[in-house]
Order: sequence, then structure tokens, then C-alpha cells
Amino acid sequence: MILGAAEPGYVEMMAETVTAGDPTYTGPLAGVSLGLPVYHVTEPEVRENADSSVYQEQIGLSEIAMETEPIWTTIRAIRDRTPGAA
Amino acid sequence: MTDPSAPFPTIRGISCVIAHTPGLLRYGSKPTRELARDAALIENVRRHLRSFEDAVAYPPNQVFIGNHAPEWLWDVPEPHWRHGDEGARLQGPAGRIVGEDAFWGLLRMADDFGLVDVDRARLERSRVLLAETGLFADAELERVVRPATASASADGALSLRAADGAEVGRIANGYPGDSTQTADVLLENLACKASGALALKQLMRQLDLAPSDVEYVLGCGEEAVGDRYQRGGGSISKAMAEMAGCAQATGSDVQAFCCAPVHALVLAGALVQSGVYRHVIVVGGGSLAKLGMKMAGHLAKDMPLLEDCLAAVAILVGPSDGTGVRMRLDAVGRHTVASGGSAGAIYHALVAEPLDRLGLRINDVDKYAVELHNPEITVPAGSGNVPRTNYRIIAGLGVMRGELRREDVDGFERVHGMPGFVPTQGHIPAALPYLAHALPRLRDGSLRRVLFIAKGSLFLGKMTNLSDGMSVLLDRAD
Repeated sequence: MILGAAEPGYVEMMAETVTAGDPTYTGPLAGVSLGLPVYHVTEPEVRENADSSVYQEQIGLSEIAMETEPIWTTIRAIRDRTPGAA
Repeated sequence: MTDPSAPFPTIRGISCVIAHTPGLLRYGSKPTRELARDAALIENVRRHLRSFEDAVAYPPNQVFIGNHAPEWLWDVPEPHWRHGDEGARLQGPAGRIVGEDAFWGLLRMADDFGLVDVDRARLERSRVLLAETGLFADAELERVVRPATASASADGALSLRAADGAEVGRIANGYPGDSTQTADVLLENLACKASGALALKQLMRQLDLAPSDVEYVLGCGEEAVGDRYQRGGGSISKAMAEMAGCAQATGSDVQAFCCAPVHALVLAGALVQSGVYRHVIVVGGGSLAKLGMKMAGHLAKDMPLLEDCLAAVAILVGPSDGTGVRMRLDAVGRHTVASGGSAGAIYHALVAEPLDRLGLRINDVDKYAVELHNPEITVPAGSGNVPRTNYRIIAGLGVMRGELRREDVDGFERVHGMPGFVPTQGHIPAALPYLAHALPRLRDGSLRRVLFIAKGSLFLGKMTNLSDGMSVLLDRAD
């Protein structure tokens, strides 16, 4: 699962939803643990696998605008605690 | 093509009004759906409703009606709902706040079909409160206390309740069996009409404009007014004009989701510039459906339900008036079908392209008015700080253009932006409420250029995957 949201809090909620299950218990994934490996689109693991011109065109501006460090820290922590997803 | 030698149209003024309607919050789309699943939730909702005094003192609301600059919010401790403005007033230079006790009367005044039946004592109270605003003539106030004619006890009628849960009246269905005229839909439309007409009245008072001078009213809201054969038939604008006493006006609606206000403003400017009309008002009524939209996040954080306010705006566009403030019709930005959906593509179309046309750089625009959603409402619900995200992207555009350094991105908001201060009423936060603050500053020369930018989520309607966007520059002729 690749996320693109700019807010660390939102990224955390979405990442949690597709790994451990919906933390807000409001959607169909409440209590459903999919355990998917989840990455943010700006992370090197994704970026290095994308065509650089497409990446620049589609993501370049957003990446400058995003505070990527807290996003990466958040999403890596969730990957680290998801068995088989790191 | 715009004749560059001709003077551009100007914006004469804006009114921003709030109706604090905690009792109506339960009829917002989200609360309606949540309460249908769990009726007991209403107790929790009720415990988190604000008093009228708290809504008036709420710092972002005082900014909305013009009593403080948006930047003042940076100096108010957070959360703002705990730090009411001690100098709060019901009126400001750009608008006013009314309470639900007055709004019941406005709903009744807006109702030409006798659908709304509110108890007599409350309507008498509404009449007094509305008379105190000084905006309404006696004959208009009489409409508040007319008896309802439709049978509000008929099937499908909806109870109207005050914040404490007491039934204050009912609203009837429209045509029997017409799913586009159920009581909840009519309530939504009447709430929009009533709040929009209040904004029109307030604008004419602020500008000392005679109702008969208004020639055209462009609605920019998101309600679908119609019946089973034409669900979005429209022209709530003309209904608002009638309620506001603009007897010589007609009107129509511009619909483009949250982007419509800037579309409407540009169209109004074009109508004035071309000489078709001298005075065109853009009006956006309040959105009942969006009351309590982020309720789940607010309840989870045990904070007041801040989406308890209907907000409406009205903006007068007219010919050049000697103030030097110009709507630059030669610097309109538009997101086309082919523009593309990435942030880069959107902001190129809405910011870079119009600036390039005038030979301007990102820093040449003093202030960018973006989607000015109040972050205190959106952040607890996980939707982020919308204006801040916009400012970071505009700054990022400046970096990509080689006009700003990467290290300028963090500080861009403080210099060229502002904190969000507008209730999350969809089209209402779409940039234009900043006119209340920008117009005086453009006139006194403390601002030279302001770019107004709105975006609309067209994809929500399931007719296209596209979004939309529109921008227009206001500047000062020197």
C-alpha cells in the first residue's frame, strides 16, 4: 500500500488501518488486520523504483511542500511493528 | 479579450454573516447518518454543543466578521475555543452573528409556502431579535409571525429542535412523494436561502446600497433547489434577492462545488466590465449539510462541536470607483480539463500561469487567500491544516521556479499567508472571506496584490474524476 497524504497524523491513521486495523473503529476495517506493507510515496524505497521524470511531474512539488521527515518516521514505525511488512 | 486600457471592475465590499444554529446541527449530513445508526448518540452531541455566547466569542468567528485580522489568531492561545475574545461583538465592519433564536424567524421569513411551523412565542422572540439588527422593515418582520399553512403534522414532516432538544416546531414535505422535496432537503434549502438573504441585507447596509440598485445576483452555493423533474433547477439567488428586497434584480446560480465563488466573482466582474450591469452581487448561503461534518473527531477529543454555525457571504462587484482596487480580469487562473491533477499541475494553472501573464513572481503577491478552513475544526478530525498545506505548495512552486529557497517554505505562510478562520461550510471558506480584510488594506496601500484561489472536488459528484480550480488577482492601481 502506497500512501500520499501530507499530514503525518493522517498518514498514521491510514497506515494503521491497512496494517493492524481501523484505529477509529468507524469503517469496514475495524478489527480487521490486513498486515499490508505500507509506504509513503516520498520514501526512497518508492521513489527509487519510479521513473524519475514521472515522479518529478506528479510528486515533485508535493514533496517540497511536505514535511517528509515526520511522515517517514511515523510510517517506518508502523512497518517495523507489522510482522512481515518491514 | 480584455481591453488593457479600460479600468477594471472593483469589489465594493463583502458581508460575512454567521447564524449559530446548534439545534440544527443534528440535521447536518454526518449527524443525521450517525444518529440513524445510534439514536442514543444525541446525548453526547448535546453535551458538546456551544452556547451562543461562546460561539460569538470564538476568535475565528470574530475574525470572520472583521473584528480582528486573521493574523491575530497567531497570537491567541490554542485551543481558540478555550480562549474567547473578551472584546467580542455581534457586529463587525464586515458582518454580524445571529443566534438560533433569531434564525427560526429568518427561516419562517424565507418560507413562501408555509412549510415551517415554529411555536408562536419563539417567533415573537425572533421578531424582536431581528428588529434589533435594524436590517428589516416592519412588513418583513411581520412575515416572521405569519401562520404556517402546510400541514406540518403530515407524513414526513421533520421536528425542529432547539439545542436542548425541545421541539420548537416542524417543517413539512413539499410535493408528496417527491424525493427532492423531503422536509430535510427543504430545510437545507431554506437555511441556505435565509442565511444568504441575511448576508445580502447586511451587505447593502454596510455599503449604504439601495436594494433597487442591485441588478443581478449570482448564487455560488452547493444546494440543489428544484423538484423531481429538475433536481438542481436552481436560482436560489433570485429567491434570496426577493427576500432581501432587491426588487429590480434577477439572478442565477453558478455551481462548481467549492470553486463556484471564484467562478462567480470572475463572471460578476465580466458582467460589470462589459457594461451589462453596474452592480452584481455574488452570494453564498450557509450549508446545513456540513453542520457537524467532523463531529466524530471532535467528540473523540471531547471538544465542542465547532461546526454549529451556518456561514454566508455576499460580495458587491461594481465599476471602478476611485479606490484603486482592481479585479484583474487579465489575470484569471483556471484549471482546465487538460491541466492535470497533480499538485504541480493544479498550482501551475492557478498561480504560476496568471502571474507569468503579468510578469510577476511568487513573492510579488503580498497575500494568497486559499481555502481558509479553520484548522481547529479540521485537524482533530484528521483532515489536516488546509491553508497551511496550500501555502507550503505555493512556496514549493516558488522553489521549483527558482524564486524561493527550500528553507523559505516553512516561513512562507507567516509572510504571504494567514491562519484559516472560516467555518467549514464548503464553498464559504473558498478564499473570498479574506476580502473583508484585504479590501481595506488594498485601499490604504498596505497590501498591493492578493491572489484568491479556490478548488472544487468535482469528482465527488461521480460525473468526472476531475477537480476544478479558479483564481483571480486583486491589485491596487498606482
